Amino acid sequence: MIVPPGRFRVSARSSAAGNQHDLSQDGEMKQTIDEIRRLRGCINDLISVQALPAMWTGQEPAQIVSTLLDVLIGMLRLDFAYARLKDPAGESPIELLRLPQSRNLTASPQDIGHVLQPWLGDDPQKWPLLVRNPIGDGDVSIVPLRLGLRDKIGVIVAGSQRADFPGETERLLLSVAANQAAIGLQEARLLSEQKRVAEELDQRVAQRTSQLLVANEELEKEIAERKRAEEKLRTSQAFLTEAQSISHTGSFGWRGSSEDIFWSEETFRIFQYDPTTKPSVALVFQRTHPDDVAFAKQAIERASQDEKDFDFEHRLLMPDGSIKHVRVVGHAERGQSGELEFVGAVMDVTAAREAEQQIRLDERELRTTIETIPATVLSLHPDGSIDFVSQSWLDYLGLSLEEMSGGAWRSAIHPEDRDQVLNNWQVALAAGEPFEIEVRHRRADGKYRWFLVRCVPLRDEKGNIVKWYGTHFDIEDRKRGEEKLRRSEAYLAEAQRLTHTGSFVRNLGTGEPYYSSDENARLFGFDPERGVPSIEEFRQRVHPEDRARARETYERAEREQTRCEVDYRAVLPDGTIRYHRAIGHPVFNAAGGLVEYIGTTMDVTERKRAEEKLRRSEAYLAEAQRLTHTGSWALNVATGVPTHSSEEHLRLLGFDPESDAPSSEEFRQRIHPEDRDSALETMDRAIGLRTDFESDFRVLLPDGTIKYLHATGHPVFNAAGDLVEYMGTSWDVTERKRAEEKLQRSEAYLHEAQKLGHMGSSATNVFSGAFVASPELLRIFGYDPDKDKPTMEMFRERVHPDDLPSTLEIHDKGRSEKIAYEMDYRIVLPDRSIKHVHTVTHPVFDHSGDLVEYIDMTMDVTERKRAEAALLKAQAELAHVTRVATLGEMTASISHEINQPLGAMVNNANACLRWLAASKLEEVQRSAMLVVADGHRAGEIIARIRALAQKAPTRKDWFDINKAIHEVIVLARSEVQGNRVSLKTQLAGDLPPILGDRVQLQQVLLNLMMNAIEAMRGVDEGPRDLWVDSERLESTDVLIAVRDSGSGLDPQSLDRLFEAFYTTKPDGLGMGLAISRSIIEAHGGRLWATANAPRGAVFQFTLPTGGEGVS
Amino acid sequence: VTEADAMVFVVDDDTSLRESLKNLIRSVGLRVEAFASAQEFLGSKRPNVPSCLVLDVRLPGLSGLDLQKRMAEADVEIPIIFITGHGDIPMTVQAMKAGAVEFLTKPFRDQDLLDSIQQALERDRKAREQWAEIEGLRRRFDLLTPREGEVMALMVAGLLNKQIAAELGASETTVKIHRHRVMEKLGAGSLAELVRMAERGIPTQK
Repeated sequence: MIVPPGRFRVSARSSAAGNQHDLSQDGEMKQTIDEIRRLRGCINDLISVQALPAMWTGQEPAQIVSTLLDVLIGMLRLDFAYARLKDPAGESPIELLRLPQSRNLTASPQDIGHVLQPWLGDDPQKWPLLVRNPIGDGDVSIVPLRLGLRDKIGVIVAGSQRADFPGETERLLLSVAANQAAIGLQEARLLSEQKRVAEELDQRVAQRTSQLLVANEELEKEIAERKRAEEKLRTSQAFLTEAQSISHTGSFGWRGSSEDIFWSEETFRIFQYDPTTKPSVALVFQRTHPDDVAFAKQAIERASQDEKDFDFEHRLLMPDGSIKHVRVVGHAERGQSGELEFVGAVMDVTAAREAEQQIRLDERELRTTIETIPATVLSLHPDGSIDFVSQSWLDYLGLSLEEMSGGAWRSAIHPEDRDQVLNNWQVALAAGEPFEIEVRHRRADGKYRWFLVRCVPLRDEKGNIVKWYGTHFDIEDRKRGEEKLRRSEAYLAEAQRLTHTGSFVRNLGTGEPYYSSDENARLFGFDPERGVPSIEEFRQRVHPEDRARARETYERAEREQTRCEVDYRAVLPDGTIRYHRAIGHPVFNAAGGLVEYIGTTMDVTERKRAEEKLRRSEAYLAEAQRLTHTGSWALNVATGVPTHSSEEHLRLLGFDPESDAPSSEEFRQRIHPEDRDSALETMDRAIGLRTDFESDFRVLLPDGTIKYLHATGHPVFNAAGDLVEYMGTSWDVTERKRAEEKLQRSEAYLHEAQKLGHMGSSATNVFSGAFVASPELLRIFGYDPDKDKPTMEMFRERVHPDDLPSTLEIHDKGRSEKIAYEMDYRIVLPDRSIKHVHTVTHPVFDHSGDLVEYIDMTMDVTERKRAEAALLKAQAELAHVTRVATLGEMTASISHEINQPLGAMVNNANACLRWLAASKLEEVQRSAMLVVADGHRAGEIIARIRALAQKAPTRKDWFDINKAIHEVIVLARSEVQGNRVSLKTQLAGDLPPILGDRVQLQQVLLNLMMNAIEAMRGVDEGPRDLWVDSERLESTDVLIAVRDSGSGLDPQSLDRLFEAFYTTKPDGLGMGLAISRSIIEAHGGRLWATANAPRGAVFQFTLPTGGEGVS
Repeated sequence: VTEADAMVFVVDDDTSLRESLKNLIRSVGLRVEAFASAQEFLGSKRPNVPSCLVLDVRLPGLSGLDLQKRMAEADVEIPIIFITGHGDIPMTVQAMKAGAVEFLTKPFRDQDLLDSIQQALERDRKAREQWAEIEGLRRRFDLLTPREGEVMALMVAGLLNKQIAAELGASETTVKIHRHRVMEKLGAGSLAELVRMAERGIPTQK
């Protein structure tokens, strides 16, 4: 490969290792070696950049950019490298900054970002690419590198203070690096995005699931609670009913202010009313014996007025004409609302009355009878002393008759009741009024039981009290029942309140609810204290849109005499809307006729909302699945039937989510035939082992599309630990697969490229010492990549013994300073053949600036070494040929130059002879001296031409550039005059000396001047002016410019001017400018062409005047 | 006119060649003045003596041939000897046509140059003499009255007095008097001499 030397700049790389053993004795080749080395450096850099993506796999974007910045700083000797990464989520961008390690500088990425803002924004400034150095003095050339389409990913800015930055190759490197970074970042971003979405999805699913579980649990708990309360209530009511039935004692509750009366079943039976009738005071008086009505009314009214208990007996006239004696006992109390309530009992005492009658007829017989029946009866004398006590009572109390008569019965009364009993009894005895009280009596075993104690006086015909008769009626069970009932009703109310469940009874006869629990009223926004609202009031609270439907449901159920259930919305007075579910059960009478509906109203708002929430979260889930291409599924293990397939799951497999669920066989058919067996086997095996499984397979859609799916499955067990079903996900990983394949391919390409380029790479982890090497590296070092496991030692062994010390020195220095370094050395293979290799090592730092690893690129340059030597020779020949060709073009001019002094010599010698003849000795001497001077002049010219034509080795000396320019002008003078060109010079007087090859630089100048003259030859109009200027630049460089007023340059070909074999002259070689540029660049300068004003061209070059290159 | 009166001018931009030419010309006893450019030469004050110019063809600014053209335009009639490093035929022809004395190609023999200089000086000297003679005649012609001029023209044309008188409408006597005055003013001894004088520069139409 012949690279035109003029195409590349020579940059002095501080890290470049000396090429000690190769051709170094030949100074002539030095410059070309530098050139080669630089080219090699470029290639190495390029390779290093190409190798970056392999290291980036799986890294975060910040790490990737960080690595890249480090590499760029190292490679390009930047003053800073800055990156700004846009955050895809719209957060503030990540900013990174890298400064050279060698310099002790600090700056925050934000500062740099602020300075660079005009070049980085949405409408970035394009020019100039020169900014105030944000971390030091002077200006910095910057190269913004945009990553991704429309800078979607971000931007990298490389900055260097070097005036020649960025060079052509540096631009190339930067743009390759930017492309690599863009691809790497894109992949990293894609991966992290997928990861993030998957995590988010998992989290969301888990959250929804737990919410639903909680809602469900609460509902179950409520229902259980309610059931329990109902059960309890039912039980306690049954007990009470039983007790009342046995004792022929009915109970009632009556709120004095209203007609609201509650009767127990037994009460109904005593009054012989149907239990379905609504009890009322009127009904009581309807049954009361006409003779007793006035008395009974009076007793009740008095009790109501005085808020006193009442206790009276009256007769009932039953429909069949029979007479019943009932005793009504009422207990006044203030209810919770503060209203006066009576709670009491109605006792059927007909039997007692008839017995009394009998007693009066035959007391003895009565006593006997009393004794024989299990009743506790006693009789007292009018003064209250004990006359008779039934044995069963004595047995109960565990007292003898004597003890009773002695007053011991008092102590058998519960201490809390005792005073009241004795007081009441004294009052009753004195007034001769019947006495009744509920009191606890101590049984023989010390336990107290409730008794209803009743004493009534027996009067003779004159009305005198003959005796007192008393009974003890064991009401313990009734008491307990009452207590239980009260409690259970409270429980029920509480339960209803807690569960938002109301109960109601709807009488079909009236249509009105004749019962509505407090909670039922509350559900509709009624105040339970204000009584049962009418059916119309209830209806008004039903949402207008639901009203007709609810009513229709009820009516249909009534017609069909079936259970009814209806959901409707209730609108409460404050405007809130509650969802209700009402359930009614038909109640039939004995004849099978529908009597009423008993039912419950449940507030299902929460459940409705939960359902709504569930529905919405399912919709979200479906949306999330659609967005992330993730489906979910469930499979019944026993039947093999899919029990759940999310819409996205169906879509992934190419089914229409709107259609019927596909069968398991249809699912199977969608798996790619080549993957089907293995995928199904994976699942079957997991089912057999009851474990989780993951499976990757392709699906083949009916339209021929192939997708890659990643499926996971998770076994679900029931409480008993049996495997019930498998739940899982399916994820469309087609994109990921493609990215993986791409990565694999690019890795393969890399390996192939390394193979083709005889390049190998390796990486050493600083912490673990882990060492990896590419197959080609092993091959270069004569190892078998398939057999040998690489170690650092293996490679060290192969280094040529002569090169080992220097190699180790560079290696150790590079590692200790943590900088990039390069080495050229030889290796000896087992067959004793020798290879030349070149190794470039870069340290890699993590985002916190810590050294992570070293990356080495090693190239087999044996072949290239040979080619280099040949190239060097060819280049030297070429430079020489060009020079000679230039001189050849100037032959006429040069011969004229030599002829001038020769002619002068002849003239002077002739004059000398004549003066001699005329004996003018002074003139003779003067003439002879002129001859000598002219001879020297001729000799100098010839020496100069010889120097240019000579194949002399490159040598560097300090020289005055202006002098050198003068010499060239002299040589070219004839050419200048011959073409009627006016030559003007403007040379700066204070130029420092230049270190370089004088002849080569003169060749360049001569070349440029000859080109300028040539360019003006075809111009007939206007002056032919040629300027040669020198001036000193601020940077201490010297600038030399050659301007002409010729035909000028074609802008189209400006960039081709310096290419080899490019020429505009009919007989030109096309090497002049190419070689000129390579000479100038070898001297660390720059040669370029621009247009001259008003016409013509300017070729100018710079040369450094010290610093670099001085040794 | 002696040799010492003559002057040789040299125009050559090459210092050493210029000096060597000066030296060579001086060595044969001629006065010499050298200039580095054509402009310098044009700007110089030249003495009115027989002169010649040794001129290099290739010069910075005005070339040798350009200078020759300028001098012709300005009626500066100094004979020119061209010297050139590489003369070609067209250039030589152009120079010679324009009246150059010699065209020498370097390197030239010194004697050739010196001979050319002598030749050129001789030519210039003659030219100057002729010019002086014609000047004298002209001055004498200027003394004639217009009538005398007419008479002279007819005399030179070979007409007899009688014919002249008829031509001019004058008497033969008057013609005779004019004729005598013409001969006297011009200093011509005979009619033949008058005719020769007229041939050498008298404007015939007067």
